[in-house]
Amino acid sequence: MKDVFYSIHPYTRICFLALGITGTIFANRITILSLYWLFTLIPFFVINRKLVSHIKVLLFVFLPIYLSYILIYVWASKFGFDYVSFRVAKLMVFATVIQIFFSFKSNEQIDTFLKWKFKGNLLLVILGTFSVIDDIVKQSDKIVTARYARGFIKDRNIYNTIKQIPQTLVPLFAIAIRTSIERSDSWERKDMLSLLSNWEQKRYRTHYLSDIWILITTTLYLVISL
Amino acid sequence: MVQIKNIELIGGENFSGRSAYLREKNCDNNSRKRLFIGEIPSNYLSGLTTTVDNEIRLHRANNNQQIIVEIDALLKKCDFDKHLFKNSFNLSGGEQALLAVACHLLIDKDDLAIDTVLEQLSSSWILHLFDTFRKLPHKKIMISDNRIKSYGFEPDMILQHNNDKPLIDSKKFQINTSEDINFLLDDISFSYSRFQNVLTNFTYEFETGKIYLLNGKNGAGKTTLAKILSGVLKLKHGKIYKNGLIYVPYSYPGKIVGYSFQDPDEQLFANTVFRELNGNVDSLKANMLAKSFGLSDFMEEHPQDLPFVLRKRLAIAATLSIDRSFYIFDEPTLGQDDNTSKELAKIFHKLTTGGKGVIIISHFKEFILEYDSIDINLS
Repeated sequence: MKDVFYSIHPYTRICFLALGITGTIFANRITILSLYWLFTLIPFFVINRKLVSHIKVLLFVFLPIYLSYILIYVWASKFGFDYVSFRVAKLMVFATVIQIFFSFKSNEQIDTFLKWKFKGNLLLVILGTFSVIDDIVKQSDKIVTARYARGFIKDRNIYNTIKQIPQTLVPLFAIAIRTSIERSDSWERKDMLSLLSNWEQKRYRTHYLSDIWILITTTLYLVISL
Repeated sequence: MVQIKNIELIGGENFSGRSAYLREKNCDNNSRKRLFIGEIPSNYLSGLTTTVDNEIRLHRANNNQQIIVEIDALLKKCDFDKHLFKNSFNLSGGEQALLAVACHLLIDKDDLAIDTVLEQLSSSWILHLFDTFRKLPHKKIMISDNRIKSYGFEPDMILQHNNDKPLIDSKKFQINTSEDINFLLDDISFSYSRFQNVLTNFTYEFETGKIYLLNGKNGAGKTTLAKILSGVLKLKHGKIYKNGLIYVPYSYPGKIVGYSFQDPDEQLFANTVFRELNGNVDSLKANMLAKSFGLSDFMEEHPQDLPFVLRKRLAIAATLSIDRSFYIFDEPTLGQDDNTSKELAKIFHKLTTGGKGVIIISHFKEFILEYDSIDINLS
């Protein structure tokens, strides 16, 4: 029997969220936000090989926000770059803390929620919510692929792929409804609540050094921010 | 033919009420609902876990050691060790079917009904699975399937179909002739991850006018090869030549090779069967296809409202509604009884006489035995 390996221990994860969010609310200098982002948040993404997904968030979410803020506040209202940079940095650190909080590896998901004392129907709903997103993304991808296979899409480009979104909705809804009906019936037959309540939690292992580092630096961040 | 005491095998043609019989019989004497696995195995996985390992752990939560040992042995024989940390929704159709059956066997209930799922498994996996059933005599398993005889068993019960069932009729199928094409796949390899190749150094030449039967164990790369040829997946290593010239299918998805998926639901987009058959462009061809595939009575119905057997036929007919030089059919006989499968074989043969190339991915070779076909084993 293999142990479960947590990228962050579930208890550390909770403390990190509470300290990180409070620290960001009270942070009043861009230097503190930048240092925290650089020495605590970025190393986490590097260790867990998720830097690319974080860079995507920066490029496709925060860069457009930053540019819009420049347009609204610097160009139109003459607030200055410091004002805009501070607000965007605060928003970015806030969102990154939440991104890290929810960045479970797939095999640690159930154990993490059980450690947080979720059980019964609530656990069922939360686990279902996490996996349904994954399920819908995969189904949509398969449907777009099927449209390519039928020869409905002339050229491969982002514009044509976006144009397929309305066409994917009919099969996606039909599949989702059929799956929901069959799966709920299957849960009843299997007595899913009893299976979940009997889930055997394994011994856990974690990167102790990274857990300690994330806790100490986040506490320091909160203290300095206050 | 040896029967297994704890298994009840139910045969019969499509629309003979096999599924309804299984569902009717779905309560045991204490009115507890039986465990049941229907035609789409992924719907019978929990949907709560994201890895195969966790899916198995979830279902083995309250079980006895003998069952755990037997199921572990079954999964090991079927090479499931390498899939433990994969997302269960990324597995091939056959792998999902085996996982669903294994997980249901792990649950501490003795009655299990399996409807038309085993058709997706390769013959070696079927042998391992029935061997496991035999070793778990306290489990009472009802199986409704079209391929019982090809697994080496006699059905315990054969249900009779009603006379109004929609029949497939190959005589009504007509085909336009097309130019000769050959594809040379030269040393192609493909992998979904850095660590494991699905196809390795595969070289083969496909020509129009012939039927090719792609087989091999589950997960051997049959569907991957089909997706590369039809231009759905981008080839990472190797070259493809069309009539001697380099050809990149990825740049022309679905334009030369039509591909009918294993799961029909992903491929049905229109609001009516008529439109799905491209009826708004060529109504004559749509009507011909509807008559050939037994869909005439359902032209104004929504494709997703049809039963699985008809949705599968419709997906095949819809692929044929657009003229291509090559067609790939992934598990075309899924859910289809023997007579329907034979009619399908006749249609595939007609396609080759019209100069089309046909590639069939199937674990059920018997349906095409009447015609010359070329076996390609990817194992």
